[in-house]
Amino acid sequence: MPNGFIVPYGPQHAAFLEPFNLRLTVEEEVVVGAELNFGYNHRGMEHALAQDYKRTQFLAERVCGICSYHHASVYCQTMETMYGVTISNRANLVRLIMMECQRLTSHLLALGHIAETIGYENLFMQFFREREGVMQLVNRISGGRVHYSMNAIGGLRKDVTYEQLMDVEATLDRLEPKFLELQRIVRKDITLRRRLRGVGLLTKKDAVDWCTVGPTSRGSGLPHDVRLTSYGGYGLEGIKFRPIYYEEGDCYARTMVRMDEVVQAVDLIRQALGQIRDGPYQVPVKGNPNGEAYGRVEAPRGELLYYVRANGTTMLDRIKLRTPALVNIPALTAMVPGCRFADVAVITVSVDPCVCCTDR
Amino acid sequence: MISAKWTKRSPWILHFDTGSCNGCDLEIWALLTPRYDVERFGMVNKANPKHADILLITGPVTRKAEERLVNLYNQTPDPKLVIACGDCASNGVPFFDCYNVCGGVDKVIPVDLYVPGCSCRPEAIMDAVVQGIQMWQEKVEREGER
Amino acid sequence: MNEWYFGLALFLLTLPAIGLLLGFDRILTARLQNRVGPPLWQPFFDLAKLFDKEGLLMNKGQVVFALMGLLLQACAMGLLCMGGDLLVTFFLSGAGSFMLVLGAFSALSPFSHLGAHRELLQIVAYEPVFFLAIIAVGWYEGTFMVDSLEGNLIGVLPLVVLALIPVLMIKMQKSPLDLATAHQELVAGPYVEYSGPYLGITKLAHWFELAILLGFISLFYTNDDALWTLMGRLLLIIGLVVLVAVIDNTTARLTRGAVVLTTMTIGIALVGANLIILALYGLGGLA
Repeated sequence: MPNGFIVPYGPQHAAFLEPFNLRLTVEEEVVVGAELNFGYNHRGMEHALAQDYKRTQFLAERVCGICSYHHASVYCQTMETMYGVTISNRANLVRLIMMECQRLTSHLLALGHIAETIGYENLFMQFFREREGVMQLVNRISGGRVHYSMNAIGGLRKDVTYEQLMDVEATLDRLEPKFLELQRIVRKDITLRRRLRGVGLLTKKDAVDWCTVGPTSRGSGLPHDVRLTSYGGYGLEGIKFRPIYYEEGDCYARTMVRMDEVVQAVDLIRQALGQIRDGPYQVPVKGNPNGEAYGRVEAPRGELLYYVRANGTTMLDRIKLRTPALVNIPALTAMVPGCRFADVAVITVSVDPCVCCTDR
Repeated sequence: MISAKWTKRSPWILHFDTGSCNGCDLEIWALLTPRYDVERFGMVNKANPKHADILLITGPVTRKAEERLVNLYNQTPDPKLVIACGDCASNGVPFFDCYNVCGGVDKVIPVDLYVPGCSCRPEAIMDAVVQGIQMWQEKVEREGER
Repeated sequence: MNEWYFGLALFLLTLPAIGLLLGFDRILTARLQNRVGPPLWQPFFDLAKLFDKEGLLMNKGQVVFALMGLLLQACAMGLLCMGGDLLVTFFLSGAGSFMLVLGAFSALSPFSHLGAHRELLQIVAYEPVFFLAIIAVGWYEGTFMVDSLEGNLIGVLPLVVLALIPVLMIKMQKSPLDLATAHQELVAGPYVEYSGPYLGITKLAHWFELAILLGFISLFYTNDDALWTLMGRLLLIIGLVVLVAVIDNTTARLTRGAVVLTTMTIGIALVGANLIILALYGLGGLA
């Protein structure tokens, strides 16, 4: 093979769900250089989002299908800060439950995707099988599998019923043993560890330098979690959790962070179900928004930040999104060079690239 | 040449995301997994345009993806079928009038079937594929006559 | 047994049998993954469709290499069916696999090149083991002619059959040893630039290649009764295919260094150990 063989990885590739391009320079199956190329998914969302403030949250969900509810929630949270209203505990807890449900679907997708890229097709199928259970659960609660559209500025659009909450509990009881078994498999499986251990090393220093967030930084030993800032339901009494982080900084650590967070999400939903009481689900907000505000949540991939500026009319002035994938994906250029060609796909997937968030 | 009854049993798919929000892509992946399992109809995700028969396109076509989509379409050997999955692939609607969007797959390449829904449900995609197999059979027969 | 028309019938039956076996394998894989899976006839449907499609080519050389590959593999299989020389079969089949590599190298695509390179590595990994297994059979029997093999080889050469399992896994493109056709890394590896009927031709060549290995493995069981021989051989093949499918579904793919190392070292060690045991007991010996 000649030196400096250039392999275009993507925009259409078996390992990627989404279009983005990695220009790899390969020498004897060792990657010596990687160049990222974005923009295949750029739709001009920030421009489109600056519209009628009541409709924005539904378009905000369409920024990304994997963390759609986080986008809607953080938008509503930002607008509530702007209005200066505090939403009811019930609305906060329902948002928490749905956000954790979305984290479940997103992490199970990411884990299945990692299993698929290392050629472990059976594990991929098992992850997606359990994921389907969660997808159907959120479908029964919100009416949508991908876009929930449950929020309104000031709370929820529609209250959830007691039966629906019981349904959440029953479904989680059914799924939890399977999650635990999958966790055991991911921990113990020899070939899986062989492919993930020591691959795609991101040191603590690199993780800080590249400003990584979410599971990518937590896999490198940084206990950084926006949920610790106690936004929304996470600050309520009776909701306790500790950020999960691993010190190794390789693909295995990032996989284990996600796997443990699946189990943690189940626990958080249970806690929220225990705390939820009857009460108002919406706080009325009056008038058009005016001023500027920002809000952030811990999306499945990390910190998601919205900045909104309004001018007293129904049309918003400016929206700025800072999505987690936008900072995690460039960190690939620190991980990929020097790795084996076979590991490119799994390293890329281990940061859980969400190109529609990145390009918007 | 060979009976269309046989050939239609093996549609290989190529999935390409031209700027969707990932929702429909996930549902296409869900199709391959235990609950929906489209391998029952012989469908396999080949991810290679030269082996594909059915192109599942998601998302409004962005300007940068446009050229790639045309390339993929040209590289797919005949007879082929294009299915636009989701509202935005059908007519670009949630992203209508965005500056970087062409608006619908049919603005770029000919589309045979449209799947509604945002995001489209896996059942809808499956229905489209089964209908698509029928259309594909007709296409194969027409090809045979020529 | 040694009539020529018997061999011809066997040769004609090869492709349907391998197709059915692959269909069975796909159903089994699907069931292991909690899925229903395709119909048993799926490989034939795929093949029929491929021959009905338009073929796009990068260059004319690809067709030559694809056809040569099919010809060589078919020749080798014919020889095996007619009771010919195992060594000639082995080298013809090896040349056929090499044609696939050449075809992949002839196309200007990085994925095709990487796939071809990995295919070469696989050949390096499994050919020595396959070759040593044939040598072991010849050493014990004193001949390499298929129709003069007699005796129940599985009883004396059990470790050789074990050594052939990784070889079968590579040839069936199953993880942990499917380097060249790693779907998520190289899409379809050496097959990437073939389409339509040309892909069909390479598929057929692959079926023959698989048939040669399975045919060789089936020689390990013989019984005085022809019916029992047939049943035993079928059972042996199906058992191995089930084993390979189960291993495929419980492992991730290994990297190329690990594949070459495990296949070669384990294979050569097992065949060597078996030959040493035979030598200690003073059995066999090539005249």
